[in-house]
Amino acid sequence: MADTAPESSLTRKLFRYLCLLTAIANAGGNVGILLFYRPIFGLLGVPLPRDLFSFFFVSGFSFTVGVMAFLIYRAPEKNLNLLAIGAVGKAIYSFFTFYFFYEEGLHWFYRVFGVWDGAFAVIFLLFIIHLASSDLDALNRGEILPGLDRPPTRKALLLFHSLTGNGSRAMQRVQQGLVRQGYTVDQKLVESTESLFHFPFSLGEFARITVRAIFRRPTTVKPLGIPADHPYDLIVVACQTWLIGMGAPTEAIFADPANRAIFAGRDAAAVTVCRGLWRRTQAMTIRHLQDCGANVVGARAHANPGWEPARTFSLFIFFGAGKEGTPRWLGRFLQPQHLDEAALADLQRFGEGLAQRPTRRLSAIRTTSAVA
Amino acid sequence: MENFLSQMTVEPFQKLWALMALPPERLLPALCLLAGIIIYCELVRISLAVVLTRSVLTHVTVCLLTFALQAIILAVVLVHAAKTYPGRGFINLGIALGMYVIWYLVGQATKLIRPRSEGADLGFMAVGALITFPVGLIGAIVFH
Repeated sequence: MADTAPESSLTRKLFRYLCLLTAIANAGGNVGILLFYRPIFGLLGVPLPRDLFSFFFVSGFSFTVGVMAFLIYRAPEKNLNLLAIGAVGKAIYSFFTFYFFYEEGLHWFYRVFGVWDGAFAVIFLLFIIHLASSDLDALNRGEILPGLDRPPTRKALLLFHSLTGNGSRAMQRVQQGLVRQGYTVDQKLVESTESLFHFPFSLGEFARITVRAIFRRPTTVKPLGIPADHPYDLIVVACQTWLIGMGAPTEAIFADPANRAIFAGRDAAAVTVCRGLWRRTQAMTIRHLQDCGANVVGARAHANPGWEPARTFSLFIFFGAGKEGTPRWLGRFLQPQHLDEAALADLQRFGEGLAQRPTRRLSAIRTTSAVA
Repeated sequence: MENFLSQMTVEPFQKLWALMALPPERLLPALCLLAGIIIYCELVRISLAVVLTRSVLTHVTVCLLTFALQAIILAVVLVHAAKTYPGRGFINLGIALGMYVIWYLVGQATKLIRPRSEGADLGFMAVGALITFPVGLIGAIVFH
């Protein structure tokens, strides 16, 4: 997982101190309980443990979780996997406590720990949500990152597959933005070698595409015909969301090892077009680009306009009918199936921003000057 | 082998299954358990959204947690509860609605800590509701 500084340091600080709190409670508390369980249990009326081995074992394990929480407190970004383990462990402990409290008459004293761990299972998950792939947030804030220090050719390649024309329209506007700032742009439409991926499609074809999208069953695409020594200093890849992830034909570009060289050592940008869920598609596209050695300088994600849940149902009706605004008797319930002008205008600005991106060297000089 | 299998521990599952019938005298723990499942599923879905981007297992999990798993669990609970406690089917539909509200609120709450996030997906939740509520309604009518 790539990480940069998270967006809100206050949120990060709050979560870190919560981790420290549970580290102290788990590690310190369990040492205290192991040493003083007799007087504490006596004071609170808790029956003495019948199985001392299990009691000591659980305390020892809980102490370990405390150490784990302390490691997370020290370096959260480097310990996302520990956060995941903590979220699972605390949820299971909380669930078992819940079960034994309600079903087996466990003393309320243990329930306190169950509630505590249930709360921290949620806190750990929220901390993961806050931290995971935080480098994407910089791109989603609208920033255009510095490009590579290589001679600019002012030529860009737009790569996309468009089933219904939505992605195609989006890329037209990115192209307009690039051209406006002096770029020469070539478009390459990605075509699947399978006839399945066309629109409109039958119900059976839709079901096949859906199942394949869920299980990430890949397709293959016709050769792109772009040599490794191509003249483009920027490649923009557009992808639609199909069942929460990348559309199969666009993802197939990256499945072919022969295409890796197209992106290696080049600046790249990702455009995501969808009904509503864009995060996973965007993350997949960017990670594919990075895995190929591209320097990702920008990303934009736009969803179709409209209100939910009409937008979702309209999408399925659109797929079934094969065209927008059908059946007419549904009238204003049907939502548009293409990006609105505001989104398209933003994509045009995005194209302009990409064309004006500084190189890393220039960006470093600017930063140094600003500091001086 | 049969002897081995016959000694399998199933009692906890039987007790949890009984709790999932939403017994009126033990409604609080049943609701806590259901709400816990809904909250955890939504948070796991959002946690996994931008990580392990090449993992098929992760992707299938995210797809299931987007609406299918929660919607099916709630539908099964509604039928099971209506069958076990006839006459409470319509009250239980209200409980299921409450779970959808919790689901939505949890998803939206994640925007507080990750503003550039999708939050709850009301569209797919509505698709989930098309599974949960018709099934629950039929259960409520049949076992009235």
